[in-house]
Amino acid sequence: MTQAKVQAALQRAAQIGGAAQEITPAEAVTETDNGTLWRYQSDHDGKRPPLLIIYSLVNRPAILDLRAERSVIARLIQNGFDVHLLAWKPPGQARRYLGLADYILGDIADAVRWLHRASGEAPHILGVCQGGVLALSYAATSMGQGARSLTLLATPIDTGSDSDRLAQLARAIDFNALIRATGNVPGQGLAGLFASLKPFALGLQRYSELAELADADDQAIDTFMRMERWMYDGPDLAGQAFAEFAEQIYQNNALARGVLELDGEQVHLSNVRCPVFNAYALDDHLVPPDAACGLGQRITGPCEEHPAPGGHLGLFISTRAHQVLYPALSDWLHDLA
Amino acid sequence: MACDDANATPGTGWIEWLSWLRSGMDPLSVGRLLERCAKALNDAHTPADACERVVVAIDEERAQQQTGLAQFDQLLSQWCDTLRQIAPVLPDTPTTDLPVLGAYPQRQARLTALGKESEAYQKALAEHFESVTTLAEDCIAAFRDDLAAQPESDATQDTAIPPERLVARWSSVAEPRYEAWLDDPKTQARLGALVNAWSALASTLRALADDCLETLGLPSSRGLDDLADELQRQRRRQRQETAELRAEIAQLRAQIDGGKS
Repeated sequence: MTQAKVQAALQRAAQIGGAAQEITPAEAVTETDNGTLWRYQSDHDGKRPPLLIIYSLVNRPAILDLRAERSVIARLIQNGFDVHLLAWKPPGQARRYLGLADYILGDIADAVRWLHRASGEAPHILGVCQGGVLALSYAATSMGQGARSLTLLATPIDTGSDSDRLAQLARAIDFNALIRATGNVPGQGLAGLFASLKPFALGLQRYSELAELADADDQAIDTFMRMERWMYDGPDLAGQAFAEFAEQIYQNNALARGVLELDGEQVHLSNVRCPVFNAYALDDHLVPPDAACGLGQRITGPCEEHPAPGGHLGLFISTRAHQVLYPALSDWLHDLA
Repeated sequence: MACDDANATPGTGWIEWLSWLRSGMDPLSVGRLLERCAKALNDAHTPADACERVVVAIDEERAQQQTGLAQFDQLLSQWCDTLRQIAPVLPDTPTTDLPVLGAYPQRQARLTALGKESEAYQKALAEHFESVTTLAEDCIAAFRDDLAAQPESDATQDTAIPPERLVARWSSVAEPRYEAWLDDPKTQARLGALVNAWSALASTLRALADDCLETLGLPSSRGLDDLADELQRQRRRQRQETAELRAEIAQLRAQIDGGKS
């Protein structure tokens, strides 16, 4: 690693910068109160089953479409699905009191209803990380029977284990006091917190590998910068929803314990009757396997569990996930038809 | 007010602001007198202590007064006597330990809270830094041992270890220690205490800033919170009413469909 190589890599990274446009083109088809429903373009003709992606409120969904050959979205389109994404709008201060119920019973229910009406059939729902919790909670309410199937990727369900570092760190924090002070929770601050859980891999090691990019093609540098932006340029979170999530999911383990309430309605996982495909990473430091596994024993419908080697991000961008996991998911979804 | 400022750095704020009076425009040395008194108040820890320090400050300034200001000197002397009388009856405990008495109780309560919360935050921050420092020292010592134990072939006096290998070795030494530190319940409790202390301090600072803005008739974060809360109530009510209407429509559709069959 020479200084000249690092300098060259930095200069190229600054020039390329990580383009703002997404890899797979999409058009906005409707708005919900707090989100935009995007439909991804496809070359496929004919009717395709609608699939709705619910992403996390933390970070942006760009990780699902970071580069063409490792794009979860492109993979699902290639496999014949009519892919839609509910992209959350960052809340301003006027929406600091948005709660989980607003997102789950409002936006997700509206998006599912819209897709059902537009396509004439119930959509498959795919929830990613925290978005998986939102999707699972939706499926566990009286409204949630509108889902044809549910796919969960790296979704924390039972946060009661000692291996759940986020849950352990959350235990002693008064989240209501925190949001009284902050209003909404700054996304960039939250990104710093996540990075601080793996400061060596995401800091020193990641940046020391930058020199190797000096001789790499533009796409590699573009991907590096896209990842950089994805990691650190997260949207702000509505304060109330953040506090509810931290308290209910991480402090009270409310989803697993069956004590989560949305607008007075109990969210019981046993209400989930649709088929579920639950994938998680075996070395995930954010959502450890203990937190994600074992859903089959909690729900009423059939459940397939897919543990995958690697870490949190590997579930979305690793070669293995794209060679093994996503083909398996596509086969599973098609078999439901 | 002396105790509310007990944690502030002496010599800042009012003292700086008053420095412009240090000129020929101040023949009575009122500016210097105020400056001395402000410093005395900054340094005080209790109301009684503040009173005594102000007396000393006035006496010191009197000693430096130019001649020909007999009336002013007499006034200051009387003021010192009065303060000396008052000092023994004032409480000799920090104001954070005193009840809220008299006018502007909310402001008093916030200032009292600010003192306590500032102290709690600094304590939590100091404990966290101490813990981080201990971790860093532990990692550095282990890294030093690791480098010392390296095979001769890795580094001689003539050949330096390549930076990327140093990075890899530092990570292999420090990362498990950092993760163990992060998983330690004591670390988690310290981090929780730090976040909670910051939340309390920031909320009080926010409330004090809001007081100032509202006094000037300007929008405050408290006012914006009220609006956001009201919007949220309306949003929730609308969502619930829409859900009820949908359920009613579905029920009517079912009745119509039932009637048809």
